[in-house]
Amino acid sequence: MKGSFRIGQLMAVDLGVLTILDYTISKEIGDHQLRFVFLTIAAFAEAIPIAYYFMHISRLWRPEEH
Amino acid sequence: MAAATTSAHPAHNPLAMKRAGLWLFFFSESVLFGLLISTRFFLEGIQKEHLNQLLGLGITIVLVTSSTTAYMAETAMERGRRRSAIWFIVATIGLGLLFALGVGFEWATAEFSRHEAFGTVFFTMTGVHASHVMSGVGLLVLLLVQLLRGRFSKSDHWPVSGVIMYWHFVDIVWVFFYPTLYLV
Repeated sequence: MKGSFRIGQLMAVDLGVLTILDYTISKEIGDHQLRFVFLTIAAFAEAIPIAYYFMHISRLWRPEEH
Repeated sequence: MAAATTSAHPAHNPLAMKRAGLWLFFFSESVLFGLLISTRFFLEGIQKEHLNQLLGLGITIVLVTSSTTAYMAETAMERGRRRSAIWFIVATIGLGLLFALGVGFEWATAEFSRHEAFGTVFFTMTGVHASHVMSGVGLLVLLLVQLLRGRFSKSDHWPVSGVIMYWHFVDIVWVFFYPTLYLV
């Protein structure tokens, strides 16, 4: 439980930081195309850990422990 | 020996089949959400529209936080900690409702109409997503009722995992919708 709780905490911090980074990029970068590229990278940087740590996508090819 | 071999194969493992089915559902839903995102860029290009930026940031933080509480609920259930799971699910429901309230406020105060191109895209995207959030809240409430009745255990909690995976999927969709609508 402790290890999983730690993953939950780290993910909460990670997602919070990336969301605020999204907002900052949008405010600070004037160039439309550059902003689009950075925001796309940031969105994938948020989505991939959610799929891996929260949705356990790896259990699709490593079935099943319970 | 034979039984051990067959149960290790995903095709003979009911839980693995359920999980694969749910992921197939997510992939099919991704097509719908992907089309909505491409529609937004087709109609409006990559330019920022006037929206309440702080509200967008606030509801995004609320939704990603709800993913964390949902994960904690699933983890608690995997460890057989029913009471913790119940409280984390209650928190997730509360955060989901807060998100929906924020979207409702954005709709009520939007400075564009549904007759404009961006308005059409905005109301469609947020409407379809909010309907998924509300169906997720409904499923979480059903889960909560079942947990309060003593259903599910450490070894048998697939419905808990399934609903929570759905909740995370709805969160991932918003991770892409938020910059698409508010920030690009």
